[in-house]
Amino acid sequence: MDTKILQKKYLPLTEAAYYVLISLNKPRHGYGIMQHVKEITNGRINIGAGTMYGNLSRMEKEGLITPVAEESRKKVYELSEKGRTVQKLELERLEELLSLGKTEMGDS
Amino acid sequence: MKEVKKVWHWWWGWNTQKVENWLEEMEKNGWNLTKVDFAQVRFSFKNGKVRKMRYCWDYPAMPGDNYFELFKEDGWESMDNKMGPWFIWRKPYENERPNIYTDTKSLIEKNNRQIRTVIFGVLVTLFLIALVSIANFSFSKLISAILILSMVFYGYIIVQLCQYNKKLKTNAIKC
Repeated sequence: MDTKILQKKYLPLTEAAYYVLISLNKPRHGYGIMQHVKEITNGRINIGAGTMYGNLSRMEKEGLITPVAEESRKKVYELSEKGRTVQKLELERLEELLSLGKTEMGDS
Repeated sequence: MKEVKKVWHWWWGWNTQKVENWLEEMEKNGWNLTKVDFAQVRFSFKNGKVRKMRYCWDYPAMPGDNYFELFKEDGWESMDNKMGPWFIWRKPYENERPNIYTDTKSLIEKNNRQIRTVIFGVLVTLFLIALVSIANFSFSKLISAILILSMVFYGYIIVQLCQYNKKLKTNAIKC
């Protein structure tokens, strides 16, 4: 898919969407993502269950993530190729923000 | 002192914080919610323990097993018959007050889902109005009045939800 279209449609990601996508580099279910995000941010980011469910349903519909299994009534998701591309584009965007910020502020 | 009571409490989809806070206040005063019925506007309480209990109203898109499992795992207890479209959740807490929506975008999407439902209601009503005017029933005046009133009701809801979304988008309200 065309890079420009993806950028225009999905970027910038919200903080919740960003963390959902990076967590799904490995297969996880909704609550697993919530716990993982809490852990890697040292408790700073707590994604609510409603926000999590909303993001997962939307991202599944948009094809950014794919359900790979169903374990005891829980859907396990993983990044799709499209989701991986979007995540990569977001990282590039953030890296540019960071490096330009550092250059302009004289800290590089 | 009375041990149980039933209270009618109307609420609107753009302002569920009001009923959520009211229930939290009841729990603080030792009135524990036991049942919600009559299209989720009648609340039954039992006089019991003083509790810190957070209540949340949700309007999810097509909730399946997945939805209920996610909330259950996160410690939320369902307070209705799981029929929807509104779902009432509660969770006891100590310090930090839990929330089911932790970002503005998801809240806006929740409001948009409500708006879509109401628009569907508008279309159905328009269809009924067309039917009534074609069929010309003997009691069509009464029916027309009811239908027109429901259109006003729907319009009011849509305007309120759009205003709420506008406030969320301009950060006038923070999640």
